[in-house]
Amino acid sequence: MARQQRILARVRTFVEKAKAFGLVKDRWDRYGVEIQESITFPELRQILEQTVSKETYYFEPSSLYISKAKPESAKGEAVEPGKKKQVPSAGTAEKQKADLFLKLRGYFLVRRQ
Amino acid sequence: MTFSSEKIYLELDGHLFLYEAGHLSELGDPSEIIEESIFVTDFPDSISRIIQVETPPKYADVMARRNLEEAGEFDQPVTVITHWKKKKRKNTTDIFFTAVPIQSYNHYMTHVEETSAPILLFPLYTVLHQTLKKNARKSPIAVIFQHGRSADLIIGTKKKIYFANRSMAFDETPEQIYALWDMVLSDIRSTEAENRIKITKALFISWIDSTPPEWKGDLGFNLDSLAEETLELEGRSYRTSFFKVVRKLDVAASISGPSEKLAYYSRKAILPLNLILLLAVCLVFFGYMYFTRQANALNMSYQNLVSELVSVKQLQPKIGGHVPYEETLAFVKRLERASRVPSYKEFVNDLSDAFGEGMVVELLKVDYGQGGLLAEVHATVKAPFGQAHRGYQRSLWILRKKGYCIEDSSFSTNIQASHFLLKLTKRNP
Repeated sequence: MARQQRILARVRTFVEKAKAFGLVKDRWDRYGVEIQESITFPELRQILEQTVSKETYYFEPSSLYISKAKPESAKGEAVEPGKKKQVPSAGTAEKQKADLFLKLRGYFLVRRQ
Repeated sequence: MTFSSEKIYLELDGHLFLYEAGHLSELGDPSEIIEESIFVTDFPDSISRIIQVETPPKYADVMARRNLEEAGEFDQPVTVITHWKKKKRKNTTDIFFTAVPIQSYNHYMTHVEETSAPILLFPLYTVLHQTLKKNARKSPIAVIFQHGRSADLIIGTKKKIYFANRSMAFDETPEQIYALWDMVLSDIRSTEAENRIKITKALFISWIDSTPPEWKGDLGFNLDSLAEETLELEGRSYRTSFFKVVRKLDVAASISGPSEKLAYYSRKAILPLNLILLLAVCLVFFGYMYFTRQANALNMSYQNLVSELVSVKQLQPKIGGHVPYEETLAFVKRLERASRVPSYKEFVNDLSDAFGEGMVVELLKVDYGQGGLLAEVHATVKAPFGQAHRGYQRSLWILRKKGYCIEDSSFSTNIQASHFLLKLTKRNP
């Protein structure tokens, strides 16, 4: 009985502290990232540098695929509805000189201000 | 089964006695016996003896009766009560019996059967025979019952009877009784001689008017008087061992019918059965009391547990009830995992550190699970074999140092260029 009381008190404290620190789901935004395209090395570096956790957000990696050539299965593949597509800022000319094919999935978790 | 103290009727030498609780009284006629009792009789006009008949044991009593009738010892038909018989040779049987005139026998048996109370009827020689069987060992002994001017004698072992006869004196004067004992001793000696046996012991059963023998000198056997008891007859005290012997009789030795024996057994069993029944009732009663008390105690502890459970359930909401922590905990764990897992960049940098010059990643697949990451790397080395393989091994060594587990690896070469595959895992820190 006393043990149960202690455990419940600790759980309640945990939940209260989590709320106090804002570590509850409804105070965070979640952004899905899905990239699937041919890119250059500089673009890859730029993308990879951004898919890390920072002070103001977390990046939750899910899967990464990099190949020298675009796989047959990815040719003409449609993007899933509701998924945001991060497009590198490189121009069309550079795309034509793509070095790699990239498929990347993950989520940004950003705390609301 | 033997008898305890109860009514014993004795018909002896034409007199009928009732023995009950140390008192002896004389009655008129056996028809007065109407209660549950033991009835010992010497059957008036009967004879008891051992004879040898030329017939198998099965027909020995018939042949004995025929011999008696042919010898003219009875002037009327007789019934033979067999005490013992044994096949001696082929078609020859020794039989020890009491022969009773059939009319007298029927009179006794009809009375026993028609009396509602069970009466166990014993011939006198059954008493002597039973006494002999209970006391004899391997060597033969004699049992003597002297009463009035008669002496009944039986000689034998547990399994064999050598002699049985009644000797009679003319009267009860000391001289005649002395002569009677002489006849008994003479019968013992002649039986010893005829059968080439040695009598080691003689048991003397006394009656109220018995006179012990005055045998002198070395008889060659011990004469033992059986234990006596004192009884009263018409205000006078007597000592006799007869009724003590009778009380030790076996019910099965009675010549009464099975119904009388069964009734006797039943009556004897009533008291023990009642006692057992009473004991069983007591056990059931005390058992009921005991288990009722146990059940009450259990019920009380059950009620206590139930009330404790109820109070615990009532207390739970006061403590705070259900705290919705699952969703919060899952989200915190997700954030914590996101902060710890190696990023894509970190993983690519690890590969760059591990792979040396000339190594080109053809394909890279990384999947992140709950526990860590799982990666598959296909790479090509455009260098001579030796250099390529050294580079490959160095890559494995560096990756291991960085905390990766090499789940699978393969290396192939065509001398000028080599290809290798790595399957890696890394658990979340």
